[in-house]
Amino acid sequence: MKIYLQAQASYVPQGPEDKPACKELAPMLRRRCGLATRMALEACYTVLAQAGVAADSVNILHLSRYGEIVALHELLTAQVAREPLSPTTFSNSVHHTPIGYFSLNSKNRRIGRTLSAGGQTFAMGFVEACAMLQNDATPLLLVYADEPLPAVFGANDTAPVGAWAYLLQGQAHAAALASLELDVLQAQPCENLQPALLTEWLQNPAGTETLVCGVGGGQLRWTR
Amino acid sequence: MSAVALNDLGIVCALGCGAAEVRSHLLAGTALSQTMDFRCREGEAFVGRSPRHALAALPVELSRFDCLNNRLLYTAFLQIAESVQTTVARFGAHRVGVVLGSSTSGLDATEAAFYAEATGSGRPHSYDFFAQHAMGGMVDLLRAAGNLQGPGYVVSTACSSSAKALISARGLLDLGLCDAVVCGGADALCDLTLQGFDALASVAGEVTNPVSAHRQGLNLGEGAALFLMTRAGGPVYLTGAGESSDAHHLSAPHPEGIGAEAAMRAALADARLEAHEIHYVNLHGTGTPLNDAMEAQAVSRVFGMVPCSSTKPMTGHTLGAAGAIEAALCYLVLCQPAGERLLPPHLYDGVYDPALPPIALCAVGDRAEGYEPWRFLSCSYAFGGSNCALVLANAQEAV
Repeated sequence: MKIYLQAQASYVPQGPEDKPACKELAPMLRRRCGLATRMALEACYTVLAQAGVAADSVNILHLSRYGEIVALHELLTAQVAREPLSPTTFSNSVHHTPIGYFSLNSKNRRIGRTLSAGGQTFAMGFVEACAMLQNDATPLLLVYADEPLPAVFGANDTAPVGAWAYLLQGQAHAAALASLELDVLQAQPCENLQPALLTEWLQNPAGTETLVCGVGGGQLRWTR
Repeated sequence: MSAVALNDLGIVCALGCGAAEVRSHLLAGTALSQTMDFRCREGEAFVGRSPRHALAALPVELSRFDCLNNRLLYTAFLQIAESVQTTVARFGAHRVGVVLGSSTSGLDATEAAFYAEATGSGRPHSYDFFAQHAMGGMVDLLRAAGNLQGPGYVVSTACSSSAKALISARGLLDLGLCDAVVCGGADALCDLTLQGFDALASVAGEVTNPVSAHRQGLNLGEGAALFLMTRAGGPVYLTGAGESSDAHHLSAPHPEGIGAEAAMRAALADARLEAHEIHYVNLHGTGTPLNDAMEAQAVSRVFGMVPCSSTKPMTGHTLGAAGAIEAALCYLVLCQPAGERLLPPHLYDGVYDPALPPIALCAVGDRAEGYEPWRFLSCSYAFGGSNCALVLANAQEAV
C-alpha cells in the first residue's frame, strides 16, 4: 500500500497566549471554538490552500491524544462548583469537535474520523490513512492537534502542542513531497512518532532517504 | 471493501451481561427502569445502567487502568478472551489489532477525582489520567489483557464512534496489516455527561419514547461490546458500511436527514445491495424531537416500510459505545435459528407522531420471514453531523 504526501502545514504556538488567526473560519464559529480546534483548522486550511484543493472535496482524519481537554476542564470545574454547565462548551467538548467545525464551515459532507492512541496517535493516524485511501480515491486531509494538557490532569505529559496537517493522495502525484508505504512485516513493535520528527525529515532534503516507524504488524516507511 | 466476519461477542449493558442474557431481555422487550440521582429539566433521569454486580474486577497487574469504563470494557473482553487467545496463538500477537470506539472513555474516574478534591477528601492515589481517562488507556488495557501487539487506537466521534471503529477494523484486515482485530466500544455513565445533555435540553423525564408524538428526549446508558473480527468464519458478517457528514449544525442533525440518508445509501452501495434487500433497520432512535424527525424521513425515503426499531428504550443511549452495542444486538438477533427469527421490538407509548412519515415499527414477538441471507442495517448519528451505517448479515456474500 503506497500513498503520497501532496502538501503539509503546521501551526505551533509561540507562547501561552498565542493563537492562530484562522481567517477561513466564519467569525461566529471562530468565537465559539477552543484552541485545539482553532489550531487544527488553521493548519487544515493552510495545507488546502498550498495544494489548491477545495475544502469540500476531501475526507478528513483528525488525530488527538486529549481532544478538547480544556473545554472538559471548564465543565468539570463548573460541575464541582455546582454551576450550570454551558451547553456550548459541552457541545465543544467532544473529541472530534474540529472535524465538526471543519465540516460545517466548509460544507464538507464527506467522511470524517477522529482517532486517539496515546503516544502512538500520530503513527496510528497514518495507518488509518492508508486504510482509508486503499479503496477511496478521495484525497485525505490528515490533521494532528493537541493543546496544552492542563496540569490538573497529571504531570509528565509528552504530547506535542500544536497542529500538523497533511494532504494525502492514493494516486501518484507529480509534485508529491514524499511517498508513504505500509510494509507488512514480522513483529514490529508499535512506536511513538512525533510530528516534529516527520516535519524535520521533510524539510531536510540532505537527511536520510527514508523515515520508518513500527506499527505492530508492519512499518510505515516514508521515502523522498 | 471486503466483507469481514464477526466471530465472537462480549457484551454488557442495561440488558444484561453476556450474549444469552442480553438477547433474552432484548427480544422480551425489557425497558429501562433505573434512574440516576439527578433531576433533569423534564423530570427523573432514567438511565441504562449495566448490572454493576456482574462487572469483572481488574486483576492487580492491570489495576492502574481501574475505572468504571474500563471495567465495562474488561468484562466484555473476558467473554471473548478464549477466542482471542486461540487467535493470537494461530496468527501471532503482532497480527491482532485493537480498534475501539468511545466518547468519554474514563471520564468517570476524572469526575470522581475532581469531586474528591472539591469535598476535601483529596485526589485518590489510584487516579491515573493517562491509564484511565485518556483514550489510549483503553487500547493499552486490552493489549495487556490479551497480549495483543498489533496496531491499536480509539475512534472518538461521539455517538458514531464504535460504528466507525468497526469500519476501521475492517480496513486493517483489508490492508493485510492484521489477521484479526478486537473491535467494539465502551462508554460509562457519569454525572457530567448527563448534566451536559440536560443543559442541551435533550434528556427525557421518563423512559425515552422514540417517534412518539410525546417524545421528550433521550436516556443515557452505559455498556461495552467487543467483537473478534477476522476475514472469514462467521456467524455474522459486516458486509457494508457508509459514512457522511451533515455540514448543518454542531449539535443538531440536518432536519431532512440528508446526511443520514447519504450514509445509509453509501452502506447499501458498499454492500452492493438494493434497499429492498435489507430486512430490518436498527434506528439511531434517541427519542429527541430532532433526531427522530429526521431519521423517520430518511428511513422512509430509503426503505419505505422496512421493519425497524430503536433499541435505546432498552439500553439507553450508550454514546460512543452505541454503534458497537447496537451492532451486537443485531448480531444476537441474526444468530437465531431459522425457526425463531424474532425481531428487536420498538418500545414506545404507541402514539406515533403524525408529523412523521410512517415507518414499520416492530412489536414484541414480531418474527421475520425466512430470508436467506438475513440482512440488517444499523445506524448511528452524532454531534457535528457525523453519520454512520453498517450492513450486517448472517452469511458472507461475494462483493
